[in-house]
Amino acid sequence: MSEAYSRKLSDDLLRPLLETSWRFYLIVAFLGTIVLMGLGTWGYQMYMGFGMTGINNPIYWAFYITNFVFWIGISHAGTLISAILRLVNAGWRRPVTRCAEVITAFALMIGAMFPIIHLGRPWLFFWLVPYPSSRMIWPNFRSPLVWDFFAITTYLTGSVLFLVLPMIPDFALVRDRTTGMRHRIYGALALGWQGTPKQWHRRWRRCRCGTRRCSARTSWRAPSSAASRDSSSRWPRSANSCTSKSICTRCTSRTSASCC
Amino acid sequence: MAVDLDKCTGCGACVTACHAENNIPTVGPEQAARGRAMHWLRVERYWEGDFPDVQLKFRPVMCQQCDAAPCEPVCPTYASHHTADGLNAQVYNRCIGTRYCANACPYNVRYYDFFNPQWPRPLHLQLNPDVSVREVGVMEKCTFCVQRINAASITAKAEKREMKDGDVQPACVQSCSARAMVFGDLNDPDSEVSRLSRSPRGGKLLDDLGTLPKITYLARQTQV
Repeated sequence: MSEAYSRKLSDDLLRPLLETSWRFYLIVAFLGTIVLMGLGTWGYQMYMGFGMTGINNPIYWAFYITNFVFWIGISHAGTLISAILRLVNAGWRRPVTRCAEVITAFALMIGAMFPIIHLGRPWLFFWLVPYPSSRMIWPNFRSPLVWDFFAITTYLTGSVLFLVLPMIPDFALVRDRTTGMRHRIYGALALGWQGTPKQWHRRWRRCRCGTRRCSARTSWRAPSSAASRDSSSRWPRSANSCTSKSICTRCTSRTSASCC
Repeated sequence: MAVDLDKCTGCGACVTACHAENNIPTVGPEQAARGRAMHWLRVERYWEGDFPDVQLKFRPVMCQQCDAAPCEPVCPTYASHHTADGLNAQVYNRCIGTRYCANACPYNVRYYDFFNPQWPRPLHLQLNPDVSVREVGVMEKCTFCVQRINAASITAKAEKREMKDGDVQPACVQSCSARAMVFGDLNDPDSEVSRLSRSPRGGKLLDDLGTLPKITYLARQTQV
């Protein structure tokens, strides 16, 4: 793969990230209108009272909780797709996994919004959070609503980690191609990624997520040529030789850096 | 509390007294038609038999003050909790309106403030100063007129005596013209309410749910 070709490849890949067309603004305006309408109706509901939502006695839970469950379900679908592709070790899984994990994280955030909208006095939602208040009143740990809080937080933390960790080299790639504010933002997100063999090795070990047996069979993909060239001045020259055959099936945690 | 269904005439005085005592807002006919009427104490009406041999039965239903209350464990903020007296209390300030308790309650006796309470002038002048007015978004329910219980216990303490049977009368008991309702201390085996609770006519509402309600309904005697 020639240098010029790989540069063109990453240019093509990053174009939607670095250039903004009018279609983007159109979509943002459209979706932003919907969001503003939602915020407006939520404010109206808080101002007028929960009676505006049409629920009544004895059906006290309606579409907010339904929506909550729906979005949690959507995010589970993302996890499922990503997990299955990881388990079967599909070589073409990367873009699909990334999409699925983005769906997981963002659908979960949308879902987590609904129990708060659902509250009669949403400005007090932090009483669901176990924190040492001045009067040491903790939430009632017997209540499934508090379990909800723990479940959502755990799930969100896990899925965000799964999303962000494999994305770090890509952040570094974008960092190296941008300037100004974007450069600083992507630089912060890249967490000082330089693309050294040591970093790749560590990242691979973190993403393995503790499943040693399973991951020993997981092939380790060497950095894509674009990423390695742009963000790894210290990457050994010999390492690039393996990028033409991008999957190294013999790697283990001990030899991952040197074998490629 | 014990309610003698044989004596209940279904007059509804208890409902009115409850509204007056506890600052319960009236919601108007449109909201009431949607099932948002707030009667901490309601009189359920049952028609039995075919015309012309119909029989009308009443049953006043308020919070049963369950010993194993389903509303308590589900509340994430302890707004619904059990007091040392055995009351099933609701702390309005602590309620954030998840409405979980009302979903859990099998008796449908918890009421939600769908809107801010309003009283047409000059009715706002008759609000009971001993009872807080609940704001929009909180759950409320029968408290066994806890303000009266506390006032009586403070009086008894000031007079350096134990509370005795008949010291406390909730608004519904006080207003019941047929004296169908009796309120007292179930822990005192000699109180009238304890005596009535042991009656063979006594029964609990939805007893098989295992909620251990504190209200005993004395069944109607069938006339042969």
